Amino acid sequence: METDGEPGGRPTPQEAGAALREIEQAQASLAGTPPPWWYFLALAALVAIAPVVNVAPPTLLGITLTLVGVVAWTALLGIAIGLYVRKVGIVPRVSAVPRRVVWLPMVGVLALLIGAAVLVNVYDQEWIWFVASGVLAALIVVMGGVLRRKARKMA
Amino acid sequence: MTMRDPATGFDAIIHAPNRLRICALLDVVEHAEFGVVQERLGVSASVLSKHVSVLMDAGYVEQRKAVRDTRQRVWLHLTKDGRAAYRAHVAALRDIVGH
Repeated sequence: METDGEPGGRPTPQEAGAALREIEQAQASLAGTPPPWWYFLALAALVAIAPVVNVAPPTLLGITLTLVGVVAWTALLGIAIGLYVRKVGIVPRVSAVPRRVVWLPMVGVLALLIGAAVLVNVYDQEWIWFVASGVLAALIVVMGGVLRRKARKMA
Repeated sequence: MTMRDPATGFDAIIHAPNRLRICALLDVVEHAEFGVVQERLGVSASVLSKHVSVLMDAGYVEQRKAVRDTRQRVWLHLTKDGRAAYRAHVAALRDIVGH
């Protein structure tokens, strides 16, 4: 029977080892929650359309449309994240994610964006941004598939 | 209320099996919904509620209630003290095992 915690009941090394295994199992059970497929598609769609802000003409109407677009884009991103959190029932803690899982994709994204910025400046072709965002969107969909498959395996 | 050994970090409140698993789950997230924790632990709502109450009394866990579409959802999270106590407890367990 589980107690409410009586002092002085220190476990044996075997019991402590079993408790540590319980901890690992409990934390691993969260990894078995597959993220919803639509979340990655929504993120990919938002990333894919992001360069539209670059094609608005530098007029009052263009600037207004750009601002409205940025606000709408941010709101849609917030809605997607909010729906994801409600669906899976957890708010992930970024610091609990292994650093390489966070930093490697971030370095890749940064390299892609810097590369696109350089090409846009050299060739003066705005469509390069759409290629870059398309590649990024495709990577998000692929990453979503990998994460879902991994989660199903762990479930 | 605390049943923590300041010398070792061993905490009798956290050590109870279900409470240890609750803290383990909450340590890797910012917030977790009550139903998700219940499902992952495989316990009834009343059992989870009882253990969450003990952890809340100790100041280790806080809950936030949110109503959406007439349905109330309870979100749990470890407090700063709770996280520190849990990590000290895990370190104490590792010491006992001899890591």
